[in-house]
Amino acid sequence: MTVLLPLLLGLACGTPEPVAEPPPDCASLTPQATADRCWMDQLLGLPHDPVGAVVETARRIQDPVIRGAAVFGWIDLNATKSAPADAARVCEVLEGPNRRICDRRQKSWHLQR
Amino acid sequence: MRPPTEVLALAALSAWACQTPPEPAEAEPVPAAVSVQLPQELRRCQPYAADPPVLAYCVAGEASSVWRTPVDVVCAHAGQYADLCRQNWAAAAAKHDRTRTLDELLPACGSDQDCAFEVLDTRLYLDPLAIAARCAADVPRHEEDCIGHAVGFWVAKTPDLSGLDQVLAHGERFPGKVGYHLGTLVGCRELGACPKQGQLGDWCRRRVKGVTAAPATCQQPGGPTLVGWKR
Repeated sequence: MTVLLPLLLGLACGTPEPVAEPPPDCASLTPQATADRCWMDQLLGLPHDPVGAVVETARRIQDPVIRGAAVFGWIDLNATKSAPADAARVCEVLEGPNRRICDRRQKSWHLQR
Repeated sequence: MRPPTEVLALAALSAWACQTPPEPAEAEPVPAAVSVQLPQELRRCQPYAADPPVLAYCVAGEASSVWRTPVDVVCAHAGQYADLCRQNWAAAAAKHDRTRTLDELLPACGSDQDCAFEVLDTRLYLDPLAIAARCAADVPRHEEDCIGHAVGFWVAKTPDLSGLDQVLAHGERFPGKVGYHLGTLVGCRELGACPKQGQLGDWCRRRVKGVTAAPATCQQPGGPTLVGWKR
């Protein structure tokens, strides 16, 4: 009986299937900065392909600084996986001086070799 | 036949063990957001002071506006984007303050050679062949492109050929890049001549042939942005 006890308990309990949590509804959050930060977290979790989803999510972020931090973070995370042309598409949603360096890093010949 | 009492007891025990909800885990203490007090020059980034990656990105962008403030003061707050911050700062300082020398500007780039390359480009208008002479030491990773920019700029300035020996010496190491620009000098400006032998001569003649067939291509300097250059 002593031998059966852990076996029975194991069979009865098993391992529950992990249930994926649905992504939070960022659009419903207020103030806007909280919604933007929520979109940023979602963007950072996106895979390198398709890049269109990254661009679409980035465009939902209204604050250009939070949008830029999200995009640069995503490029850093996916630098070895995404094609320079895809990363260059993502750069297009940026504003300000960091846009120049984002473009330079993705398009300059001397940085592609 | 009834099951033995022990089996019933075990079944009841296992059911109880699985249905009992786990003890609620003690909630991990949430660290209070640490808000940094930024220097006055970076006040536009203060709203992001409690969010490190966003603050770092903001400071990196602001660096191009606060280039009068020492780079170490500005970029101390740029966290993971310190390299972006330094490149923005150095490029802006080089562009807006023509009195700053390369020896004053390049240390701001640290070990980032693309930053150094960008800074060198801002001083091509002064003496392109002096820049070419620095490429190996300052941007070894991008030396060929650095030489290419410098020689391209030298050709675009319509040189007096006093630096031709120096250009030919660079062409020994990088015949493709230098030969292209030398061909522009020969074919478009009708100055000098392609070397008779070697790869440099081959590349030079290839470019001369190209511009002879399509003279409009003389207007394409071959890639470099000729910062500060006025004809």
